[in-house]
Order: sequence, then structure tokens, then C-alpha cells
Amino acid sequence: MLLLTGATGASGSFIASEFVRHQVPVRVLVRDKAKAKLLDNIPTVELVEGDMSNRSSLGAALDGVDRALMISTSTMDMVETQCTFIDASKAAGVRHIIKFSGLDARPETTFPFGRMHKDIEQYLEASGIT
Amino acid sequence: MQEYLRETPSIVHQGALYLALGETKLNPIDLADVGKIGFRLLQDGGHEGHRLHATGPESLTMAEVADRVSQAIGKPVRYVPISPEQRRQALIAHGVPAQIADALDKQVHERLHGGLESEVDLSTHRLFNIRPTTFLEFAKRNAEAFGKASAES
Repeated sequence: MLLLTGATGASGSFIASEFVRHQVPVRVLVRDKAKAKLLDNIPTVELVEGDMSNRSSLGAALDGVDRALMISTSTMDMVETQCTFIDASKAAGVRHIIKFSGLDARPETTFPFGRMHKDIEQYLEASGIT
Repeated sequence: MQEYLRETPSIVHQGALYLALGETKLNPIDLADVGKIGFRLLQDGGHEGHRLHATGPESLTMAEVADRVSQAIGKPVRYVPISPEQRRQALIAHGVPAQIADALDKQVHERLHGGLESEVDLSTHRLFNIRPTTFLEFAKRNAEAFGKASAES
């Protein structure tokens, strides 16, 4: 099973559209199904509710997932949110996480979101998930 | 490229693109390209432990961005450089939370001082055989949002 997060956002919605267009089955994690109407009632899309920052809410979303593509909103708690998701994924046996980042995610950046992406990349690399 | 759609109010009403980027060049990517790349990465797997880079196909000054929007909508659009502080105040006036506006202010300063992001890198497009969308193509596809009168039926 493939899992996509952030699918109601700017980048994620384009990725979700490609899955729909190619009719490739995908599970999509959303906080609120009511905010994902464009993906509702599409036979190849399985909508599952959960919150990336709340580990105990992710059981159904991560069950049987081999590979996940991780995107979350650019809020000040993005590092905590994505690291929680990485921990939950590892515990659920996810083998591979693809992280969406920014080209300014370098150690020398002063841009807080660039630095946050860098911190998450390092956490992911240390997690043992490829 | 979709970040420029946030600037549509001043483009539509004043024919002006107000950004605090001086003469900086950026290479924005169309999120439709990102969608295709993300789809292939998630569907196919592989590339474990690798970082894949992707940008748009052109390095553009904001004057060049404004010129392409102008071509797409058939109306003049000019780039008006403003100061980082004016940009920060404008974001806050439009309801962007102060913490986010401050974060973006850091990004503006970094970009003004010659970016970490100014080199075109199409290696990931080539890897998946995805044709990179140009800014003009993006602007034409979104011409109505940028203020082109809708085609009469």
C-alpha cells in the first residue's frame, strides 16, 4: 500500500491528481474528510482520517503501508509533526518514506522552514527507514 | 510557480508585481511538474537514501516573471521592487501570521544576497522523462487568475 500525506495542500494536491489520472490505487491521509471533497468517492483513492502530529491517530492510515510520501503544512511545529509521523511509520513497519523538502534546506540557511526541513531530513536518515 | 498566484490582486488591479527581491533570479517550478515527480517517486519506489533536486527550467528576475505574465494576459504588468520591511508589513496586512511573515522575511534576505536556489537543476525531470513547464506556459494556463478576460463563448 502507498500512502500520501499533505494531499489537500499546494504540492500534495497535484500529486494526488496524478494518482487519480493514472488510476493508481493510493491511500490518502487527511485530518478532515470534509476538507478533501475532491478526493472523495474516487474508487482508486482510499481516504483515511488521522493527524500526523498525533501518533495514536495513525493506526488505520499506516496499516499495511510499504511506502509513504510525507508532506505537511508549513507551521512552526512542522519538525515535531513530521518526526512523530516518522516514528509512527517506523513502528508500523513502513520501509520507505519520501520527504518533500526545499532547496534552501541547507545547514547554513537562516530561513526557519529551510532549517526545519534540514532537521527532519537528518531525523529521517537516523531513523533507519530508507 | 504557484506562489505567484498569491500576487494576483495587485497584478489584476494595478498591473504590478510587488516583491522585495531586487534583481535576484529564481527558478520557480510548476507544482504540476512536482505532482508528476511525486507520483513517480511514490509509485515506483527506489532512490532510497538519495536526495533528488528539481527546479523550474529558467532562472528569471522578477521583471522577467512580470513580462511573462504580461505576455500571457495581453496587458502590461511591471515588477515594482519594494523593501523587505514593506513586504513583511504587506504580508501581515493580508493576514499572514507574524511568525510566518518573519520566517519569510529571512528567506527574502537570503534570496537578496544571492541565493542558495539560483541554479537550474532538471536532473529529476530527466530521470522521469518529464518535460519541464516554462513560466510562460504556466502563466498562460493560469491567465484568467492573472486577470485575462475570460474567453467569450
